[in-house]
Amino acid sequence: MHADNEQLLESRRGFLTSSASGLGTAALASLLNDETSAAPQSSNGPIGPHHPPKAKACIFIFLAGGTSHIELFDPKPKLDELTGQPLPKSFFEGKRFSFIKQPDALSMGSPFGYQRYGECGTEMSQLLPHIGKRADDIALIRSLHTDAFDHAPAEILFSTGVDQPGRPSAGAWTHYGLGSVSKNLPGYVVLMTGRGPVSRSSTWGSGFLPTRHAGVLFRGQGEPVLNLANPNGISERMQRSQLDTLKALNDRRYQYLRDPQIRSRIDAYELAYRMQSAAPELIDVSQETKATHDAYGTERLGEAGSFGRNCLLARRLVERGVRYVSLFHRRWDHHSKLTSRLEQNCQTVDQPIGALLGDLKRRGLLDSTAVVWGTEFGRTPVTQNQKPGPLAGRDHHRFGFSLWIAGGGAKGGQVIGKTDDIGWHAVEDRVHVHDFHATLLHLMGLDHKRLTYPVAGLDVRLTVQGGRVVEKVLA
Amino acid sequence: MPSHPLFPSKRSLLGAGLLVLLGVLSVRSEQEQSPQPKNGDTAAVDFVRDVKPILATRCYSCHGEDEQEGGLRLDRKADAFRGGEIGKAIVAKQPEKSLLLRYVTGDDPDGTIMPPEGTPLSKKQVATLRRWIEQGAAWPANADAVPIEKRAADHWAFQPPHRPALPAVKNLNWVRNPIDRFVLAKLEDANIKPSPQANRTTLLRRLHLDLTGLPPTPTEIDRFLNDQHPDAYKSVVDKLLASPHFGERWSRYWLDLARYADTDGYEDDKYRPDAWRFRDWVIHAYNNDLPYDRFTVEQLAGDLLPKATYDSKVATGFHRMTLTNGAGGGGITEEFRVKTAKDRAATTGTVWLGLSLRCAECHSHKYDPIPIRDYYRFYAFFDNAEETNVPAPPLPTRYHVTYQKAKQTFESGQKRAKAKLAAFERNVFPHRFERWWQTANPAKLPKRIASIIRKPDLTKAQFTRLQDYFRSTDPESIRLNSAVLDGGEITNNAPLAPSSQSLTITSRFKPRQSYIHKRGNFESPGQHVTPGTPGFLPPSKPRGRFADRLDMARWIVDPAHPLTARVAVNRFWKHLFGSGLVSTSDGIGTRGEKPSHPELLNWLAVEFVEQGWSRKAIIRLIVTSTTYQQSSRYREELVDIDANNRLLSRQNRYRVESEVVRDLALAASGLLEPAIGGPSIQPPLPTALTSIRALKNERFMEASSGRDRYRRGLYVNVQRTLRYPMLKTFDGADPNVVCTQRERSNTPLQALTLLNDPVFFECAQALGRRLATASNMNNAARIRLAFRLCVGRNPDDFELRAVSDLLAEQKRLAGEAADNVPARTAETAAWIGVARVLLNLDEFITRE
Repeated sequence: MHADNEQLLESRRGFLTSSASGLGTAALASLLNDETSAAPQSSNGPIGPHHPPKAKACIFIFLAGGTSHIELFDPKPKLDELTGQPLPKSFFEGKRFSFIKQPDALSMGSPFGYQRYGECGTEMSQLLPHIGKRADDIALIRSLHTDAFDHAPAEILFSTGVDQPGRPSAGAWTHYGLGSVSKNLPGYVVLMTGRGPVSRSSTWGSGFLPTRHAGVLFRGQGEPVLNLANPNGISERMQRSQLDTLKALNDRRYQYLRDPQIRSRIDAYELAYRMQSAAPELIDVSQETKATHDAYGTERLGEAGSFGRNCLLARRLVERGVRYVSLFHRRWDHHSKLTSRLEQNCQTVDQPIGALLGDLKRRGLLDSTAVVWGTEFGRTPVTQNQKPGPLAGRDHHRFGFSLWIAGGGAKGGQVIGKTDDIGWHAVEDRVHVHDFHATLLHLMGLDHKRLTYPVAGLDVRLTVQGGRVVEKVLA
Repeated sequence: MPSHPLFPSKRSLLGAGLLVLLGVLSVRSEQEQSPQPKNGDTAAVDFVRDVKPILATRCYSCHGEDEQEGGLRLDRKADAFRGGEIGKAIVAKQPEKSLLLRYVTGDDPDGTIMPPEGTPLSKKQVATLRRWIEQGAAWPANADAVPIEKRAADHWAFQPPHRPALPAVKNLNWVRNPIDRFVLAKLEDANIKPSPQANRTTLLRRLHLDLTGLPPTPTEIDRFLNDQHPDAYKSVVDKLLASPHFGERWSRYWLDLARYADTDGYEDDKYRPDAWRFRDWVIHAYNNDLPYDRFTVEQLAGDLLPKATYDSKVATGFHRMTLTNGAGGGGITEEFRVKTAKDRAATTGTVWLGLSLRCAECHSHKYDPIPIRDYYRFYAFFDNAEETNVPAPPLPTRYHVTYQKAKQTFESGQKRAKAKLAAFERNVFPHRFERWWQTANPAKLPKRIASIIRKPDLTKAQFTRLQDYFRSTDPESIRLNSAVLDGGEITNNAPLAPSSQSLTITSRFKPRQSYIHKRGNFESPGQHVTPGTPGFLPPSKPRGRFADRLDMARWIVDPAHPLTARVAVNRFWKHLFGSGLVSTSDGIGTRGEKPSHPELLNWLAVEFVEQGWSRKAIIRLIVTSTTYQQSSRYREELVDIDANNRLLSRQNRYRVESEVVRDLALAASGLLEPAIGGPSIQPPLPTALTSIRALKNERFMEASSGRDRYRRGLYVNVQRTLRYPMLKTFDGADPNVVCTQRERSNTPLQALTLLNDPVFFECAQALGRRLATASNMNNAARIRLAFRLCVGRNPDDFELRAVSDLLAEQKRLAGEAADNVPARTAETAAWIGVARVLLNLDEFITRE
């Protein structure tokens, strides 16, 4: 709701300068009036970094629906023992719960085994052998907790720090704080396999920040970006001359109407033009070796292939200076048939994510790229009122779950925090989603308390409801 | 109080470092310092003003009407003082004995701190509770919480609308109709002058885009500009409301709500060849101004009407627009059936009542007065709905001819592919297989293959198993085999015979027993419920013992219903101003934003009903107001006062919807095929999409031929799993769920679409040729024509000069592109360049 307001603030600073500095050809300069041409150069650069960054880029993998920490990251032998039983009475006495009260919600240990991975010996699920191989690069947090327990609010909270739509996402904040090294590609790209998060663009929008900080959603099917080539018969020079006139005409309209949306449109066309030369190279994965394709599994059928291609694309984006890549996969809401569905999902995402980590490492990019496994919440240690077995599932669970960060200055090979014996509550080194945000910004060289934007007289920030840097994460 | 997202309380700013949640088996709590009552702070605490809000926002959800954790209930005096299983929560004048205080401060020995969710209570809140107890814990007799269904009974939207008196205004000259009085009164209060009237060309284009979604032609523009009659504007309004394109434009809004699509959704996403019959019903309903009450009743219960007609049955297709999983095959599972019925109930609530009923699926609604029981009573109306198809008028011959042709092509393609495959199997496959057999690494093979591959003597069955395995992994075999299924073409759909049925809803002969689903789980049935409408709203009037869908539909359109008319007129307003009087257009429940002009909303709602629920009447009223006719020019001086233009001191200026973007380009270039209705069409899909192997499983519809290529965006095949890229890029509705609000993004991918998408370039070419060949015109006149075709107005001198220069430059560049380019060709190319620029103007896709 504050978008217009802020765009205007933005435009007051930006419009005179950008219309002059971005001018295409000298011939057209004369068409613009003198006032515009004489405007000062832009002082509208990024506001950070606040301290030397460890991570120059972030690949934020978001497994939407709520991944089960019980099966994947947080082994609970005690829970295995209790499988099939209601939680013991001692467990309830004098305690308060949000919704467990039905005797038919039975304890259920993970039907899958755990194994120790890497030199560090971090225990992770046997369903994640490829990610496991990278354990020594992974800082696994087992004590995450959040405030919302339904998908949309929890996703939005995880993305924006507040559980209602309308706020800038962490990616938009980062882009606002640091800008992008790549001038020829959007600085914040969103990739998606399947239908994506239920709350859609609320999770990658720019909220009250100017729209150029919003994530740009690439296609999940076929080519990631369509229509890059000029139509037949339009030469490069014809294209540029047409775009120069287009810009001059749009700018004329802007001067007459002062609508900030026109400025955004002008920017979008200029970026589109630069993408025409940069994006074909980006999306042409034929230059990648067969070994690379095999590693990511880009040729696998269905979602697995799509997710593999997106992981590969994420690496290519980061290589080309894109600041923030959000990579969504949605299918993790396992209220029933958890065993088979989880196994299938892990087959889809484990190999590509493992390949991505390995590939970044080999190229020396992992040190400067923070890769995050995120999800809006975990899943209950008890079934959702079913008997444990192939049909059983777990409900949403926000009191304790897991997330990991690899690379980008996160100290790998360690486990941070703990949940209790059954994986219910985070009990040691508790990390709230807000703390995670503060930490991620810190890795990127941004101080979450100083990365602010004025809204209606207040300096608003990503961690507006609090948050502290989790020191243990830092290498 | 929970903090507002933009204005967090100081407490919550302190941050998550202090956020302490409940630990279970081994608890480690970060202790907050115990708050001390401030010395001298002895002001009397008032229960209703000071204490109840704390209990209501932080305690009721676990200790209230729905749930009584630990046996404690804090929303009623008697229960609160009785305490819970572990003791007294409140002991008057004895804070140290009151468990309530001990838990909210975290002083309890087991470390528990209440509430377990969100931030702990602030020191100030704790101090308030302490002082209240110290002062005797007075709880006035009538201060208990109101039960859920009575809660928020005073919310504005739950009151029956009344017709308010028109407010007094100073500048009566500005007022054309009552709408203006309401708007002007607020502006005068705020000391803001309204904007002047938009100029006549802008006004005409605005009207055209809003009412028909098509731009005015130069002839129409001239006629309007030359029409000096005072009623000139009104006659344009009448003409456009009577245009058959009005129904096309406005039906699309409704189809967003109906989650309209031409396919089933889910993995299979089969084609639904008859969905369009419902779409056409909506178009005609708008064109005939079918009263909104009738429009509603037919869609929700057209099958139950005493004189149900074919049309009223087609209307029930509204609830056939739900997704279908594996239709036709093994039948519908109970899980899926329940899911569909829930979608129907929730969609009905969102579309007609502006309430998100779905929130009450697992527990009583957090904010609106809807107990879980009421949700399942409403759900019960749809628990008994059955899907039935009825015969429909057959399609015109041309569709059968097209089908026969497509079938032939498909079959001959299939024949060729079979021949190829046979040749491959005969000549190539044995060699490939042999080589693989010799060289494959058993360690990389599945067990059942690895165990036999090196065996010296194979049985015939084992040999076949080996061959079959290789066939299923060999890329060449896969390619040739799938080509047979594909008919040798990119499509993997055999053409479908023209279908002639309509998708409708009927009622189950023997009604189902409906139950509350505990925590939303249909496998955990709770109490039995009968169909019924939410208790906090006026009661329905069942014809029989229990209400049925028809009673429910009639209840919705009862003139006394507080929500229906308000929700509807708010949407009309949104479509004519870009934003509703209530800006949260998907809800006017207690969580919705307050209306900017509550009295105006009431007035319009009453007017709507009194005008016989005529949509055209209300639309006419709005577009003929002075408010609507204001200029949309941005007012920088108001940014700090009314940045979002809630006071309507101007019109809004915004990018048109995805379908209209397409329509504008087709119309301006002269390519548009204006035919109305009929089966959906498929524009050519980019080869970048159809050629890649990863999409082998997707179903591509054959591109439409002939004039069908140029049909409006409304008719583009809506495939749920593979939405038409151009419409998706411009934020078209996601057809999988009810869509009450489209996004209005502005991205470089949109720019690439308008510049390079084949459809848009074809428009540029058509417009360019039209300009190049316009007779008796010099270049300046042609440029003026181009502007008028695209944006309705003439260019100013600057624009004329810029485009003239472009023309010359493009001509030169086109001439240089190759040797011996004929002047005429270069000329046409240059005009295409000009057309391409105009079709990409921000103004072109903007409604000003």
